[in-house]
Amino acid sequence: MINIALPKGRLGDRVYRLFSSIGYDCAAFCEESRRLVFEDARSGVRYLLIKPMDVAVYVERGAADVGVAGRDVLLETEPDVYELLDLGLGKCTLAVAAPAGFSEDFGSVLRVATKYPHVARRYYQSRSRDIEIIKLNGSIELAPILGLSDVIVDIVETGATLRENNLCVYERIAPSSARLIANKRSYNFKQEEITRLVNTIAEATK
Amino acid sequence: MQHKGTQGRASILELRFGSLQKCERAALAMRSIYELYGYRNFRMGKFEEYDFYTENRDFLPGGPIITFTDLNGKLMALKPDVTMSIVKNTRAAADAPERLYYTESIYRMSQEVREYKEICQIGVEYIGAVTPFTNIELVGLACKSLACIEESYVLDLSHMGYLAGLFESVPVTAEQRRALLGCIQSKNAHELVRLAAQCGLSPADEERLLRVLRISGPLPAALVEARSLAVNAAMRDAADELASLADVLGDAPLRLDFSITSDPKYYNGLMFRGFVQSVPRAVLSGGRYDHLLRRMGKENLHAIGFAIYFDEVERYFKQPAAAGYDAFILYDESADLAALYRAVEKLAGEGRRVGTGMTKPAGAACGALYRLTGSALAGEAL
Repeated sequence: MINIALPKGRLGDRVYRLFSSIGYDCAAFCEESRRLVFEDARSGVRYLLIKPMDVAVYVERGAADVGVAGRDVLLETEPDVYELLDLGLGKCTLAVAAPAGFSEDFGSVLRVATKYPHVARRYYQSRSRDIEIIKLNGSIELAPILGLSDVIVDIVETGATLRENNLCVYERIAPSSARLIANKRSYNFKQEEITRLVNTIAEATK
Repeated sequence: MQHKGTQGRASILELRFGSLQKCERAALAMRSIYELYGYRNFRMGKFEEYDFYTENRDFLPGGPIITFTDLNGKLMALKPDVTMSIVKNTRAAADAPERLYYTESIYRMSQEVREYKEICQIGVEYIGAVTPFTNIELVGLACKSLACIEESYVLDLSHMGYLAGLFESVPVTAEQRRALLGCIQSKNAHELVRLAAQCGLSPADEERLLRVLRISGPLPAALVEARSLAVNAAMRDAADELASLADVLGDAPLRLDFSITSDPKYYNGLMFRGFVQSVPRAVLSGGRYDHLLRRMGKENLHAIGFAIYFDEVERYFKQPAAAGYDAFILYDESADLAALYRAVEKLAGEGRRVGTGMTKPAGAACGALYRLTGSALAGEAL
């Protein structure tokens, strides 16, 4: 039995469809319910539905053998896991966004609103820039509009949300997409199952 | 009479040993193994002068050290590491190696929760002239230590010399090397391919890096692949060193996996990391650290060692603490204290958790209940 942590939401559904198409199906997954654990003994798989930001924690701590997490989350949390495959799903960019026409004042500390404080701190440290982090958990785009911050660091998919809030990408930090990650203990003790999963996905997504 | 008393004590000690937590038994078993193989227990104080850590600060995991000012105004640190203190105090010489083991608490900041943690470590250090047999001895001890924790274990091996040779064979800058090594550490093949293109590596160099990244499996078979990728003396020498382990310790669950790396400023040669099936993270980590000795002024010495993270082990093997008693003796003012003492000793001698009192303890299971009146002990219904 292999335990797979999937992120709740659209990305999780897309990943499940991919896994299901290559033999890791679980009929109960598609039923309307509030369950968070779905098991299929025939396919030898147990799916765990988890908040996207927490998938890596479940994998690192061995509650799941493998999981799917965005690279944005991996860059933020730096979990001690193996990153085995880029699934090519959920592509987006970690970027600095600012109000249209923003002109950076290098004479003052930059106020950065973000749910990625670690990424933001590292990025600006590499540029020797003093910043003040404002940690938010959602609706980040509001922060510069209301004068709470100068810029935001967030993921940008199509840019539609930014445009609707009169913001635009100011700098790109790193590309992101969904990654298959594995717990290091599980990789040692379930290597055959994990390698089979990785090879089958790689073949299917060629 | 004397003989009977000693026997009684021995049997109670045996029974008590049986009631220890599994991880406590594992720790005792490890210590007796290290003693058997000629290692001496090394005890040390909990504090070290803070200055001691400043020169080799990056030998230690990130995060601040807990410091305080002592009564003489010196800035002191709660030890974040044991190995550096052992190296500082070693009296080893090339022809007189020191074999030491320790059970110590260290104090580090947990990167996950940004809080300080007390971490119990059991470790083994060999300082002197490291021969191929020393590697075998230490890897053998690491396997025996893991087996004390759980029967199902694996020891992953890697070699810093092999990786150094690999990166000598590809034209990359120090920064690019760090990034590529990071990909090998996390088995991130897709990022390695992207970086290789960015560095302008030839398809052959990229392929060699990718194949090293993918090496992960039982030592003898994986070593064949590692040998086939060796393009210089450093890589071949490392493969020979690993082969001697495979030859002698062939029955042990040794695997080759180059995702195990460490800072080359301190580490060289063999590296290893141990896992047991019930614990999701590595419980043992070790390797050869001659470069740390050079940096600490011990020019002609070599060293290899490992540590077991007992906090990880304890978390997963912790058994619920026994609550209540197997037997409880109620007594009153008329009780003959000598008779009460004999009754307690008899029940404890049978391996039962025994309690006494003038009333039944509230909220605790008493097991078999006895009542002592005068010197007469009578069992009662539960």
